[in-house]
Amino acid sequence: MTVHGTIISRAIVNEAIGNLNAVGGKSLLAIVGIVIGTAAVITMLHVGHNARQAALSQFETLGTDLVTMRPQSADGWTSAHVSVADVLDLPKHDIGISAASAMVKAGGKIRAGRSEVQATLIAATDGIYALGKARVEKGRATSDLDGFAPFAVIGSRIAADIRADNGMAVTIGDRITFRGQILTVIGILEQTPANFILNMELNRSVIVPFAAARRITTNPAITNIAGRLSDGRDDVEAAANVRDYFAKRMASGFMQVTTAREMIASIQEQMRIYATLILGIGAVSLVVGGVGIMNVMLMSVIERRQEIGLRLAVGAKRSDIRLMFLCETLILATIGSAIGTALGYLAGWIFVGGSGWQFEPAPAALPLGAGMALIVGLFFGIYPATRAARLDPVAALRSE
Amino acid sequence: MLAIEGVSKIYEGRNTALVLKDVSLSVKRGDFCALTGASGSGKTTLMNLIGLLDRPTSGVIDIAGTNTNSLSADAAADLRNRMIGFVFQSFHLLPRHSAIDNVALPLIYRGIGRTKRRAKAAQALRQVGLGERMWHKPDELSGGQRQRVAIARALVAGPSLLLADEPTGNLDSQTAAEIISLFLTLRAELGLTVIMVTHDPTIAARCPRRIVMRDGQVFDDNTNRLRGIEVA
Repeated sequence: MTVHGTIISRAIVNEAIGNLNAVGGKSLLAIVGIVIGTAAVITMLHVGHNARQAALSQFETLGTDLVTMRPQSADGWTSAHVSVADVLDLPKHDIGISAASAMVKAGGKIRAGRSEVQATLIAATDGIYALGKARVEKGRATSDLDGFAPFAVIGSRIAADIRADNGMAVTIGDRITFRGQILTVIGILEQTPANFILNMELNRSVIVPFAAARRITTNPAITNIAGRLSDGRDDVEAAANVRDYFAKRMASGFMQVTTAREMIASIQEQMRIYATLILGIGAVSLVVGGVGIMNVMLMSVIERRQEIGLRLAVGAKRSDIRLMFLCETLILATIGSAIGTALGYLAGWIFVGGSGWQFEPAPAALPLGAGMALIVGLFFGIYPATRAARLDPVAALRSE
Repeated sequence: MLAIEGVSKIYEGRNTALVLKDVSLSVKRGDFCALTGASGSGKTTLMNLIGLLDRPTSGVIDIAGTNTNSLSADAAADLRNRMIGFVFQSFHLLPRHSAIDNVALPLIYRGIGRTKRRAKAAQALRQVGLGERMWHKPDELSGGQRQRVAIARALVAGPSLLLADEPTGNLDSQTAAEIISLFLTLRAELGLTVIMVTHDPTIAARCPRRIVMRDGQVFDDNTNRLRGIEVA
């Protein structure tokens, strides 16, 4: 009986394929909805996946173990004071931080000859170069041993701007002016990626020794602290430790601590929201595409009433009729889904290429494409197929 | 072969209609019956009941010793497939299939493979004299040829009961006569039982047994030879 049944089923599937061939054009119209729906979902999936990969790979290059700290005043009027000794002692206390660098940031214009360039001045302790992955191209880096010396290391972009304005390159020993203070250039940095974790762009910055901050600003309070997580330490625990550590040592205010992993987690949270959005769009397009197919199949059932009546008369069981129409819908949905998935891959690839990212197909795309076909086919195919199977053969044969 | 016992059929609806009233009829193997009567006399309803396309409101229909009242829908479909061949007035061929695939259609539901289906269909087409045109589509065939394809389709599964509802209604008298001759030949060759609904008195006159329906009842059941008309 099962062998029997298999042969019958296979013959019915063949019939369904033949029927679809015969109605050609209308079937194509039926699948437009699901093609567009699947293509939209698959495209969004690829774009979302690649955007996430791009963001995460940026974190990879900057360092997923970075920690950024900002002293915050409690009321907004008094300044939160942190001593540089406490900052530099952080790694010694084994609370999860292996390196730290205190910074005093100030924005303004620097002048060099005829050139005037907008820059961020960072007075920082030595750790800044390692934490910001900055390398000196020419000259040397600043050092804590420089003390109050008016030495400056300039970012590659600033060097390029000055060169463009003055018509000659900056050389070691050149003088630049910031807020009326004359600084001597002792080094020029290589190009460095903007570091959004530590919130600094070294290409557009001028680094001076930490103690030299006094030359530039009357209130040289620490504005930022960059740190690195110790190997294998839990970032949430380390952040809590750091808060405690500073709470004991700050007269007022508190320390705001953000780790790179927390940022990654928040990006992933955003991606989850985005994925939910995709799912919503997918559900809507599924319904639209499915209703399109169901509509065409219902029309087909009405048009083919005589055929259904005849098939019943020559011995088709109602389940055979149902299977035939269900197969037709499933095949249509599968074709639509396949075309939509292919279009989605193409569109995603074009979009990702246009954004300058490396295209990596989203792993969920293929199963989702196939799954959509199955769900649409089954869900929206059952009703027309059941309608067909329930036709009264006498009435169906008599209809014109 | 076929025994109908006290069959009634009531169509429930806005105005309930009693279409068949207590019909009893017995048809022996090899009988060739014409079923005649005015429109609305219930002959098509009776055919649908015999063909298991519909169920009687009361009474028993017994085909080849099987009480069909107790059959499930699937069992009825199976019995239809094995025992009963249908021929319709408007042929009911599938336009996108060639003659041979139209004929092979009932065998799909019997779980026979494609090659064997086509071999049996070809044999049935040769039986009705259409061996040369088996790959033509219905729209490439004449009315008489289409009805022959339909008859081949009714024969292909090897039924013992052939039900024809106005099989000559859409044909000219010359072709109609040929189709009736074909029925008579097939009955003689294959020992089929044939029940044929017809309006045409000349067609009815060629049938060995004539059943006349009136107002949902059997009005006359005549097996006498009619004078002056030769029965094959």
